[in-house]
Amino acid sequence: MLSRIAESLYWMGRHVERADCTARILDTYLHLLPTSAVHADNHVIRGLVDAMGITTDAPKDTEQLIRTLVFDGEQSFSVAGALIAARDNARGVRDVVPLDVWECLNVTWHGLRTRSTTSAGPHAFLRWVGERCAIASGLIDHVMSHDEGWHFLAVGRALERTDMTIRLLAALDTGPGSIPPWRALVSATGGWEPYVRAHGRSIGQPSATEFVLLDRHFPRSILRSMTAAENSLAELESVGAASMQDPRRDPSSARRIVGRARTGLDYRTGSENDEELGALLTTLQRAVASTHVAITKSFFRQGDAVTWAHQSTVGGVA
Amino acid sequence: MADLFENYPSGRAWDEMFDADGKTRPSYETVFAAIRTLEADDLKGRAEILGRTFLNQGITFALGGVERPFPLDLIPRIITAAEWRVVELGVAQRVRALEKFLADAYGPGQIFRDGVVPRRLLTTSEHFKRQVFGMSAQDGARIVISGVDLIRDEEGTFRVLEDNVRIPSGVSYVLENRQAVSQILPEAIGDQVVRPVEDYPARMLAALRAVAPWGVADPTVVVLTPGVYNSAYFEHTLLAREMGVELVEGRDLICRNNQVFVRTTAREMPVHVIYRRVDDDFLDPVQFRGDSLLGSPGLVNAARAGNVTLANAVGNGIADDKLIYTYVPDIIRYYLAEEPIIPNVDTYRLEETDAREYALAHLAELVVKPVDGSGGKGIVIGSQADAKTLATARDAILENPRGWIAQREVALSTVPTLIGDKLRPRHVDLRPFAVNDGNKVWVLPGGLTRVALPEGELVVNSSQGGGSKDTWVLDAGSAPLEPVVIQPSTKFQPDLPLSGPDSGGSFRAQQGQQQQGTLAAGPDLDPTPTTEAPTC
Repeated sequence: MLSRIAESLYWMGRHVERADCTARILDTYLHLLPTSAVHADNHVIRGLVDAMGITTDAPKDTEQLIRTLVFDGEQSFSVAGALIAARDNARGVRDVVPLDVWECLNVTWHGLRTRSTTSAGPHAFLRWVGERCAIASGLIDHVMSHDEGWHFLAVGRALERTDMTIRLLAALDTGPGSIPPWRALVSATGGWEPYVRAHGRSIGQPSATEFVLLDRHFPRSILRSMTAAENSLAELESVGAASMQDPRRDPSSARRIVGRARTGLDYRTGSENDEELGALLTTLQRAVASTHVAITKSFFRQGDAVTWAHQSTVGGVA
Repeated sequence: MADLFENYPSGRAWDEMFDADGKTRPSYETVFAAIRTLEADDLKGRAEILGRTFLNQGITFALGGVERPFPLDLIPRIITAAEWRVVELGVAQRVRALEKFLADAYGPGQIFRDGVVPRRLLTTSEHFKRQVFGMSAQDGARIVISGVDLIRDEEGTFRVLEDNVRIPSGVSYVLENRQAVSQILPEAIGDQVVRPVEDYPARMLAALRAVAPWGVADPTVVVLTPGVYNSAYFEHTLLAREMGVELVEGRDLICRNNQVFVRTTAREMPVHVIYRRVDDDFLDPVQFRGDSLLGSPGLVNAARAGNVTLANAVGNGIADDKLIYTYVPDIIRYYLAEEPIIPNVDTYRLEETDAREYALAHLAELVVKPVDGSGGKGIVIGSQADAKTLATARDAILENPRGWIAQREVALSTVPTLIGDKLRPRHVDLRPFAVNDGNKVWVLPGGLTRVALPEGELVVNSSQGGGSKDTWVLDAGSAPLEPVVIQPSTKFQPDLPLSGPDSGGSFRAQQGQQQQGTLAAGPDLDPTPTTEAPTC
């Protein structure tokens, strides 16, 4: 598999997941904005902005927030921007992704122009994005061959999902709002119903954190996402082992980083969370970042110098 | 007559569907019968479905950075088996002749010494690449993929408008158009047998594998694209997907010790044949433009060393230069000892004083073209130009006569095309695609019919906002075809050395000649002209 194609698939996975997660998060939080108490906006907005990691040009009010995080095609952290980036990546690998997957992302991209200008409000748009992402993920899982390329896509998706959930958890500490923040947290991951079913008798801050961080069945929990990333990286490693190896690369480095972090979560109990959550999240976030670097180094780029042949160009060398 | 055809005008041009008396030509009867049962709304509705499908699937052409669906008109253009036979042989003949011309021009240069083509045309051509002079590894397969643009004049005779032996594009639309029309307008095909176009990718892959460097048992073929922002990017992906080979960009390639590799996630994989869609100038920053990011440094040396085959070869631009075009009939006579099967359009070389004076006096009736232009850029159609444009053209010609040619304004043939809710005649051309595997030239039955959508417009290029039509070549069935008689030419033969002008060519080129004799119905470089007309 070409390195460039692997990289595009990886980013395609990340961007589709980013659009999906961001849409779900925004849909949850924008609902929480009390329509009457305008001054209360700032709190929720700050929470969202923190979650997305936007450092410059923080939005001041709801409208600006929506413009920046939903419709701004220039920013890859916005919903529209992530979808545009996903389509651009798919376009570069059109010969290897199934036509259905490409068509889905392309239709979504065409839809952005018409949808984003309608007055139906962000909710309708975000729901539509959610549906489009679901179609894309469904096609990726059920139409695309689960070969090397698919695993790159799956790693990207799993890492992005982990990253988004960590951000959500990290933003949780920003204080009380009109709705309990833990409730918003679970809703924003899309896991409210399974959460209530599992922890119906003890809903509250501790069990919500435990659910999002450690649940073994919910596909968007951090533990589950990291396990998915680890599994796909293991597949990629064994594919690489079958063919000739390049000594300059270490295809297992990424899996070691994810595996270590995942093991830490695996043998953890919910009651441990309270004391050191901040430190844990920082560690996890760092693990995700270094996994990304390791993948890039070992699969995508080989910054080797070009060597020139010192052969005569006259007559040719057969 | 059905509503759609109401008041269908007949003009000076040859109409493909109706003869001069307004009667439907026999080959179009099925299509005509199918269309006349349709309401305008029905046809328009189908056209809209088609447009949406193309947009959704990204079957687009980027024009000025904006992606738009390549407009496809549903009414097909039909070529009968007998007409196609002429086109097929004529196109193959041109490719064979230009192939020999390129081998000669970048090698011994016999044709210049014999005074058939002036050598200065070679050395003053922008597309002449000194970097590949004397490179013979690819003789016989410098033009693997080509497209020859044909038009039909007022009498219905096919004429060559230009040759494209560098990077002809458009074949993907041939494949997509056929699929779309057979899905959306199935009744038009009726019980006719239309020759299939679907095996083009397989033929192309076979040819690319056949021209691989010597000694490679299982060559790796890749398609080299400039990237997603190229206007024909869709075509690059389609060809790579249909051939089942990798689509690579310049940054995926590494050249080391005159070997070319592609970066993969596991290792560096050797590459043997590159079907490149990157222009010469951008292909190799070591040899050509140093600022190019689209190519890979070292490709040309690797090709010279015979470790990789570039398809098409570097420097082919000298053969489709519009000034060389005026010499192609003589080039065919010189190398093949055959008369051209398809004539050129009458052309004036503006660097010749008499021709220039005539052309400048008659600018308003002629079509003036830059010799190295492509995509319809810079063309001035005298009868449609205002005084200012003509004056600018005149100055440009006087400043650089080598840069321009003038041609008689041919009224291109027309085909009914859906405009608004009526069918109207619109001018078309035809680009058949030829695949040459070094031994044999195969011409895809069909080709791209481009149609100029504005009324009276004669420039049909897709970069000028043209549309396209599906092109059907009817199968002859069991009926025997009228043989095409290829006239032998004795114009240059007596002066030829016995072994032919490219006797120094490689073993492969000679092998190719052996094969071509059986294929292409003509004395192939036979030193003693035969008097008997060969048939096929």
